[in-house]
Amino acid sequence: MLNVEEYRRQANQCVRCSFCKFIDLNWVQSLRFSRQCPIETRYAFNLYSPHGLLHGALAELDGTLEFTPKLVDALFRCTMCGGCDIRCKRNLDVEVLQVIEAMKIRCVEQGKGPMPGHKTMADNIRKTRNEYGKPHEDRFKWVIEEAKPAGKADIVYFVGCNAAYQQPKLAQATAKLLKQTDTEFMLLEDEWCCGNYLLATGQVDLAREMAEHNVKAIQDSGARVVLTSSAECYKSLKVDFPKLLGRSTEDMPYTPLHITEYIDQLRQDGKLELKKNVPMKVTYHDPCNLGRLSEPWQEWEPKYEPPVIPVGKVWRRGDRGIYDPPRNILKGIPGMELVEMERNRTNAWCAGSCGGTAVAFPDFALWIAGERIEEAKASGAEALVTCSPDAREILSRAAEAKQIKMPIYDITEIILQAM
Amino acid sequence: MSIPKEAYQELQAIVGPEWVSDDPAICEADRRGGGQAASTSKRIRPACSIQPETADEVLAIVGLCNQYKLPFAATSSYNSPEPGSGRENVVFIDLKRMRKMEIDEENLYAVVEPGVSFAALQAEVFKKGLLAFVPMSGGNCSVIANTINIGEGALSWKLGDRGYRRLLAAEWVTAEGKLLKIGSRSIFEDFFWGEGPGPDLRGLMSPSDMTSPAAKGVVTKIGVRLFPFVSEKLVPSGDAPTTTILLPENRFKWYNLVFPTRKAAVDAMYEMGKCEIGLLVMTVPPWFFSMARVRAPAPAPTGAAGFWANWNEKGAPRAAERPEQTLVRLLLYGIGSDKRLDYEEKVVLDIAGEFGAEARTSRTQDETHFMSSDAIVSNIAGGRFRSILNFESMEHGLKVADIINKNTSKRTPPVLNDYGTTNWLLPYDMGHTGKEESLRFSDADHEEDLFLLMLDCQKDFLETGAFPATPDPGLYGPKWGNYPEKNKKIKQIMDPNNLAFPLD
Repeated sequence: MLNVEEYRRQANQCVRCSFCKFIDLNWVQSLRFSRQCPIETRYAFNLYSPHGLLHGALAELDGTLEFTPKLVDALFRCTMCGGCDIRCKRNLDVEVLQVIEAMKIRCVEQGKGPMPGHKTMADNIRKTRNEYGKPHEDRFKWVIEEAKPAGKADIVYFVGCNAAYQQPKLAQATAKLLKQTDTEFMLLEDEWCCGNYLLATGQVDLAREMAEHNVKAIQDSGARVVLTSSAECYKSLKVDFPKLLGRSTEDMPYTPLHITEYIDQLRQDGKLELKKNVPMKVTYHDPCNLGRLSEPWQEWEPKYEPPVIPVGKVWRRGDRGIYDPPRNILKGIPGMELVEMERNRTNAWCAGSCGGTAVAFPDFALWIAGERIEEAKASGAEALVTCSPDAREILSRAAEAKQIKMPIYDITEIILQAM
Repeated sequence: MSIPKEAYQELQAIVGPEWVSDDPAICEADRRGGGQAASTSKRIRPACSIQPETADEVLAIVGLCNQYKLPFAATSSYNSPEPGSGRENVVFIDLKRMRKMEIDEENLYAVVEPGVSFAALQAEVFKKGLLAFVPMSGGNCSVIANTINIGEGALSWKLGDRGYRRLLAAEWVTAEGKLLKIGSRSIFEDFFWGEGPGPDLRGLMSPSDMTSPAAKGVVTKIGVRLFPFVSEKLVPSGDAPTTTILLPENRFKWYNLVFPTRKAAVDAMYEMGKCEIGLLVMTVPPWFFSMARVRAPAPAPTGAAGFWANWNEKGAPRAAERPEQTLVRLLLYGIGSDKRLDYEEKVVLDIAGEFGAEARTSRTQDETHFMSSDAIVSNIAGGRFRSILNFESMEHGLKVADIINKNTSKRTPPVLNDYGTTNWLLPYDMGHTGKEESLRFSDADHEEDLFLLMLDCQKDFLETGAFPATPDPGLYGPKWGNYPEKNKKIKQIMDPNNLAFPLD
């Protein structure tokens, strides 16, 4: 399901109603934070919107439009945050995000994309197995004596490039959490980049190579559960790997698990108590990859009965993402007050780190993050918590750029404080 | 398609190079007609797309278009199945960057620019204990675009039929590029009054079958009426796609009233109007319930599959068995006090008893009327739908419904067969006027059947004196007092070069 032709029938359903541009209307609470799509909000032209990209895709397929500079620009600025997809599936059930993803692949196949920054990222991954081009052998340099992984365990900790290289304290925090909860875990012998941004930028062959390697490494490890504290890696493990390998999530040889799911379950089972007082008023940013994008993938052969009934299709409408576990954890910490931003859960505004946008369009990504920081400030929170190392990084930069005092935490750091 | 280089450079100078483009992909996204929307228009791209941020910029753009004799079309792009114009070389003016809004809560009105959506306006006025009208076209629609066009919906029962009833003063860049201030805005820095002092030209904004409101220029700012509302907080609830707004139970109560016949239902709705109860009231066609299944939780079939499974198994047999049975939904509204809600409940139960209805209550939540979040959901069932609309009265609605049902039965399949059950009747202004809306579905491959069905109905409507919302001018012009001809004359005076939104 990576060929845009397979989605043509659905793309043809678009009636330009523009619901894709707004958060769920019942959740609109202000003019300021009523919009959903970052490219549409920033660039305003209809091409820079989900329905504009759909119409561009159809025209390109019809041969009445080429990949013009603006079409390529709009496609690759799209963060693939998926907000439009969820909105459309309230009213029309168009697979908006799949069309955009497949169009990026088509654009790359025709040699019109991706952007130079994306190519550099891919080169880095090809050479060093991480997007930053850092030595592959340093991937597990973050490992500390007090939280050493086991040689063999049922749980594999999939670290991800950002925590491994950019923010090792986050990898250490996860490892400490696992140790302190008496959880035996191992690392993959040869972990590669999950390829999330490769697929999101249409570089499907390399993304598939990453998926094939990592799935084989997981199988070779013998572990049944793959735990991660990265939202992006979680989505890759749960959605992209099966998609790239032509399978459904349930057919994969492992169970993906996010650290928040695991910790919340331990709490509910009475195996973990967060006792320490952490007096802080926080708000929680739902990473797109952990929330609305993380629903299980179901492979589907396009088959319709008249009039337009998709046979056997299970829709991914966003409501089965990971929303409650991180909130349960934060609310369970003594002294902590959780306040919501206006756009939360399925309506969350992207942080700007999704889809490889930050790699090619850093200023735009920083603008997106800045919008989120403004929203966090408006919520009355004094700190922001998230579950994505990439989101944490860009939100921190945006807060600094805007000179807004808003510390950004990864949830693992907060949990450790409370233990 | 192209426009003179000098003209394009001047457009860039007006808004800045970032906000104007003639890239084919930009223009394709703004094109009119063809394929995706239920469209019979010619497929045509504008010459360029431009994004002004202020009325001064709009003024300059329209002035430039007149100078170079360039046709132009404006949109706010929040619900535009047919944007732009059917003419070549159109300058497409997209107004969505104009997003300013002010609320005068003491005097109960808001001033909005074209980029403000109804949902955003509603959310802001809710905070002040006020209510804005939101049309059934969708809370995503631009307040200005919808208000100056038709501007009707379920809330019209209480808040008034048609947008012009809520439209106050306005600012308007005429087709010739002059700033026109009407109503109180012509004299004061104030939008509080539409009729005056000063000229009231709101009628010129009204649409006709031949010319859209935009055919006389670009409206850049309007005042709209707001209404007192409950002071309790309205709480959004649920995750997409099954969200709603929880309503305070001491102020609202839903009643579902099942009447044995459609006549009994209409008579009862007139009684409700006489007693002035409710915030909204409407009949509900049987397929609405199957539509609710499109968002059923998995593993039940959802989307189109959910609709058809439910319709074939439950909806259709029930409709075939009891085509006369009519469901009326009524939202009781305790404006001002809890006692008012008690009073309304007693009245509706009396009416239900008098007309033989079975009365049931349902959950106190918004059913997509305050934010109109499900406006396009009918497309899920088949991929295409057409709305056949008539405005007049409820009796009239019943008459035209018979015509629509008769014609529908000739085209089923592929058009959905609803067995002649009561269509969607929405009485407005407490029953003084009303709308009949028949939504008819087909799949994308049979879109033409929907179009032909609409034409068949229009021919038959002439016999009953019905006036559909989108009449064929060839059929209706002479029959209905040549209003389109008069409108054309006004258009010629206001836009002698036929530059504003030319349709041919």
